[in-house]
Amino acid sequence: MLAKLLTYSLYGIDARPVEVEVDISPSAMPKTILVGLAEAAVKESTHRIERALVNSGYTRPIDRIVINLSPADFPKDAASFDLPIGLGFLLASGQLASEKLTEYAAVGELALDGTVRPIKGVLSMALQCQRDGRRGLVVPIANAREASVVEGIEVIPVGSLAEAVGFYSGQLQIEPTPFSWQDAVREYGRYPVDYSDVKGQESAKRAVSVAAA
Amino acid sequence: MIGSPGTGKTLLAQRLGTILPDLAPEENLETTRIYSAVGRLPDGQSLLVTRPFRSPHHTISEAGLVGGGSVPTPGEISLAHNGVLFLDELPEFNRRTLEVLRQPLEENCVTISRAMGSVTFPASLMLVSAMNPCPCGFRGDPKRNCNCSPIQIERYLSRISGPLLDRIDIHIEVPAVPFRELSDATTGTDSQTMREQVVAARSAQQDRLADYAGMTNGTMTPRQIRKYCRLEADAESLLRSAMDEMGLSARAHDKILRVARTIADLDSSEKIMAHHLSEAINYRTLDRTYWAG
Repeated sequence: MLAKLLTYSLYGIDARPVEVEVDISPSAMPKTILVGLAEAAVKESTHRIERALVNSGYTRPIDRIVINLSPADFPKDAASFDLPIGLGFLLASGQLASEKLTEYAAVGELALDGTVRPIKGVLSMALQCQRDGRRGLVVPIANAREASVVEGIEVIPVGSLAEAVGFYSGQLQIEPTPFSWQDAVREYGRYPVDYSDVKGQESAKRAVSVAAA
Repeated sequence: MIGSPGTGKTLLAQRLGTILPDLAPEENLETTRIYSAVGRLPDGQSLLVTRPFRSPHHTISEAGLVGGGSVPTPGEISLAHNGVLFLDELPEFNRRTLEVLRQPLEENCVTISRAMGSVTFPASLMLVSAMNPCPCGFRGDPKRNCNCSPIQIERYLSRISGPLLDRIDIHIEVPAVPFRELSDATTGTDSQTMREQVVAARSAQQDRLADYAGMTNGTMTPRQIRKYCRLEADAESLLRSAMDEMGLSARAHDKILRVARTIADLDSSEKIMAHHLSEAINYRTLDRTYWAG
């Protein structure tokens, strides 16, 4: 069976949309093949995902598995593909059925016990998700506040693979992370230092004001 | 900033962000995006609202400063985007490392090309640097003796190239603070007051340059400088004699006019008077006294 999911990959500080395709077909020799210019961190992901699936209580498919990351000519080097590939395994093996696949993209790194770990560049991914007109993005819980800054998309925080599965299957309702610009400004908008700490040096302060203006 | 050790150069630089105008929401987002991409956001914090302050150690490599790697990652100059990049002990930096700064400083961004494509990182920042006047640090100090030989001093100063120095708009000397001022109970000017002046000066610039969105005095083109930096007769002659005497470059000439315009704005004066201009020229003379050769 073939499963398709949406995710994002970071290049520099920009995120690009990537499609994850997982195809599972019966075969005499079980084998996992990963294609799509995957660098080391992505190549290793299959081992993490297989154990994360088993340790979360799902069955690891023992068949021929082909994973394709598209566009195939663009190099991908991040562990953020773990979660979408893991979900792809479950979809392709019939352990998960979902109608939210085209609306919500997913990013996240998996631990062996199925916990979702934080990744880099969630903000850029959320911005790209908004530009692409998607409804929302499933992110690691530790990155949720960072991504919630982007308006117009639902940011769904998940703590584990099981939670992500629950969300996609519709069995678990997860509230999108709220964000208020005013609160953030109030909370973080202060500087811990002040020029009144600098004694004397009034002429230097004058020069600094000129530089700032 | 040139000054003996312990005179407060670092303190002055660290507080620069506190007097700059607030960031616009898009600028906040841009800065946060860079921190997010390198995974450096403080735990649980959603947004960087304050201006970043980066002070890399002087052993930093070129790639660390401007960004690099086979899959390019942003360097310190991009982490300081919309904020302040402070280079302490400027002559201790590797000379090649400093030279790569030139292009990003002019263009406000840095483009890194790799086999699989090029990436542009934003790097719009204020560069602040500090150094001692000589290797031992006490040259020109009224109380302490400097025991560096002229050759040592020359070697120390020559680590900073003319072109880089020419790109720094304002040069100041930070003298030692006398005990009387240190023990003084009254606090000096605080950030609040300074910031109000800065914001007022900036809004005056915005009104003047209303036709060109987002322009400030610092980014005026030569044509705009000719249009908006008209000098009074006495200021004009002052500038001419300063140019002749000090042998300033064309870039320095424009920079002096930009700085003079800013000083006049801080004074809320419509015209650039002779004393505004002389203050601006003053900020350019330090390199002559130290690098006179």
